[in-house]
Amino acid sequence: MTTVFDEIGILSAATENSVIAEARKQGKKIIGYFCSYVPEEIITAAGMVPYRMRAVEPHGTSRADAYYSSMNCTFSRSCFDKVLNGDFDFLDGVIFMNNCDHTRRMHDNWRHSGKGPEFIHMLYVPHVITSDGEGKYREGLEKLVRELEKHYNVSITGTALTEAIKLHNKKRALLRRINETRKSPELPVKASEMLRLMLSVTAMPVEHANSLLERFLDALNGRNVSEPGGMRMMLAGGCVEEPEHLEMMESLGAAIVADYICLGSRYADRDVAAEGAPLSSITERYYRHLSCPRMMNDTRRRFDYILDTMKDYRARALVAEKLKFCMLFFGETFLYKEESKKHGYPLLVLEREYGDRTEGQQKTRIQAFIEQLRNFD
Amino acid sequence: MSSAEMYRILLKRLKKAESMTGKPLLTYILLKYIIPLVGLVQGKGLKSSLGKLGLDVKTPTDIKILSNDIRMLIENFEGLISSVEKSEPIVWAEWSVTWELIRSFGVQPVCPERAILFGLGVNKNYGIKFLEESEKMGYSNETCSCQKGAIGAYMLGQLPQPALLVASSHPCDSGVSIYQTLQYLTGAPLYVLDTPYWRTESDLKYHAGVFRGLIEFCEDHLGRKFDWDRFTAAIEEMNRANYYLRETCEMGRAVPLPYYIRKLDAMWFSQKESPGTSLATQNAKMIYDKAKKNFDKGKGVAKKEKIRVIWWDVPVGFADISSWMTEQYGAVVIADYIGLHLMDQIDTSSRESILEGVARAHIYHGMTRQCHGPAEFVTAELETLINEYSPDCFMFSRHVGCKHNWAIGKIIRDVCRRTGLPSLFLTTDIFDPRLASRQQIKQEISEFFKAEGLA
Repeated sequence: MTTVFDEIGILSAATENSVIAEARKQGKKIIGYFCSYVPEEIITAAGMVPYRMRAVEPHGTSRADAYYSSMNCTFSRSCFDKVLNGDFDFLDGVIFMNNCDHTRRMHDNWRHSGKGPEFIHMLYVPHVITSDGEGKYREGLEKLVRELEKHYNVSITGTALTEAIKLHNKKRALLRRINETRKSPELPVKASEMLRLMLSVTAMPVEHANSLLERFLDALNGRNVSEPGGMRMMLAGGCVEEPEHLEMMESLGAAIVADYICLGSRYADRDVAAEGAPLSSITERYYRHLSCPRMMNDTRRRFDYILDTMKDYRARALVAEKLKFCMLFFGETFLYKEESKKHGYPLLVLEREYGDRTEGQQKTRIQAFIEQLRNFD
Repeated sequence: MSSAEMYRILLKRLKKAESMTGKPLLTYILLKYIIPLVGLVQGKGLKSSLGKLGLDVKTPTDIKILSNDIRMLIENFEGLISSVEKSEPIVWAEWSVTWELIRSFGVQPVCPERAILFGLGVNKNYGIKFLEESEKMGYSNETCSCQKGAIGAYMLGQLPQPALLVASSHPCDSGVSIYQTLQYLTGAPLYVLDTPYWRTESDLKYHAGVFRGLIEFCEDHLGRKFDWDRFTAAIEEMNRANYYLRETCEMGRAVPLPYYIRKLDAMWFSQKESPGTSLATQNAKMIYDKAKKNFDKGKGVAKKEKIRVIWWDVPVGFADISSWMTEQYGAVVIADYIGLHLMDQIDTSSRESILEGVARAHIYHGMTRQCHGPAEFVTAELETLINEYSPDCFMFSRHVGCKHNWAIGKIIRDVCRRTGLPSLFLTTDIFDPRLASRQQIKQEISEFFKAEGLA
């Protein structure tokens, strides 16, 4: 019998999973988006399906290298390689934001490549959290709404937005509940499974995602996947979307109980306020949710989140990851070192390439780190 | 290294250089006729010292321009050292942030990214120590040397403790990241000039508000009132300088090229660090006058102009590549990221119009202008240069820190291919000769010129 864990294994491994394919058959438009500052609610309210861009099923980077260079991150290159290979031809539109130098240039390269779709939008998000910045971000969302309406000849009404908010709030609440279970000494879910879940629910209609999450939560009842002597850890970083990478860590004795990654708890950080004008509530939530290092005046809050989460989830150590050439997470992981000295938590910083091309090296370092931790105990 | 030692060493040297350049005609005679006779042309002596400032010194006017540049640096260094000694507040301003607004609080700004350039000015090893210090702390080669140098210089006590930090969210992720690090290390409050992605009227209004916010932030943290009169006067003076600079750049369409790009590059620094000063305006006017004279006579700066080069990205800071190209191959650089001045005049009729103008100027400042938005901001400028400035080739220096530039290689290459312009894509770090040395860069350029039949 197929379990929900098998199901997410299949869904997360595919670029275009069966649920997305089915939605398309039913005439739904699929809109790709990058980064946690693009509100899924707006896409849902337009009657379309938000699809978080990814580079699963990578083919390498050779095609994308002609556009990018060896100085650019392997996530961007792998993802764009898939664009050039036609893997994302099922998308009806793509929404970018100016998150980092590598991905924002994909907005340029994609348009330059002439590969469809016609609707390729750039949402400008300020690099600071201020009241003026919030106004500017809202202006960007209003423009996005107008352009979606115009291009697809749809109407994104207040009622539709309110409905979408409810659905996405439910999704976030379910994810938070699932995450909460990881506080338990008897771990009901592995980090690799969580990542598969996240990859699945960010690539399907929200209603379907919510039903999957409910089934997933039920399946955690009484489940215990803890390994004897598993080392409780928190994982921090940006783009981590390879469950196999986390499985490798788990096989070495890491029990990743909490995270601060793009496809992790940051996604479900808080709800959109149900009251008030829907677009204002969406603006407030997405602009002020737990930030990533692109936000220049929110560093302390991010570090405090890590400290608090490690405490809440009784994580013994922090594993921080960055992709090579990612300047944003380079600075952040550099400061994690200072923070770890200040607050006395063990830290391992891993620099890697997308698609685990350096798995052997990673394995040695993680193994040594866990041994060190055990020796301290 | 003692506190701000680097600035003290350089100040001493600059004063010596000033005494030598204070009488331009005499210096000219010394340089042209006397020094070569006593064999001090290469490696040592006045010409070498002046050469380190990266400027072309060929005529009394060039020497006067250099003398003014030296004076502006002296004033900034003296202001900095005096602020350190008197424990006055010092504001660190990221290098795309011009200083006129900060100066209007009567405080001394310093540009942290310039520390590496000044360190290299003391001597190569002195500057490299800054890079090594940050690398020792965990910074890697792939990080921008300007920002790595700032961290190293601070850790080695060469950048004085800031009261405030002012950064811009563009041109790059390195800046976004490093200023959070600098804030963490220094403990000083950080203000971010958030730079919009687009350039609509609404974006400019937002950006003007960001500058208004900077004034409030400085007032709150410095406990000083903003001097609007001083600020307005500085903007009016900047307008005069910008007029001459823009007019000079317009003359770049002429064949042969009537100006040296290095002088326009130097003005990028002057307009940032000594904006609104009469010395900066004087220099802009002298550069313009000289270019105009050449232009009217149909005369170029190269003895015999053979190759016209578009240099893309910022120029290499540790080696004067453009002067070498001119001397060796008769190649002239018609424009680069920072030497092409496209600043509009700022309307000083009201405080609102001033802030809007300052916001626009920040967006159109060389380097921010090409890097803050979509690739079209890069290609539009490039195509204008190709269509109107008669280039023979294109060189992309590809500073290792500018990942956004590395990410649009094909787009740039396709523009060159479509227009039939031979192109050379280098790998450099503008302030770190360990990645690509002066000799390596020269060799690649030489081979490129030969391969393309340009030399």
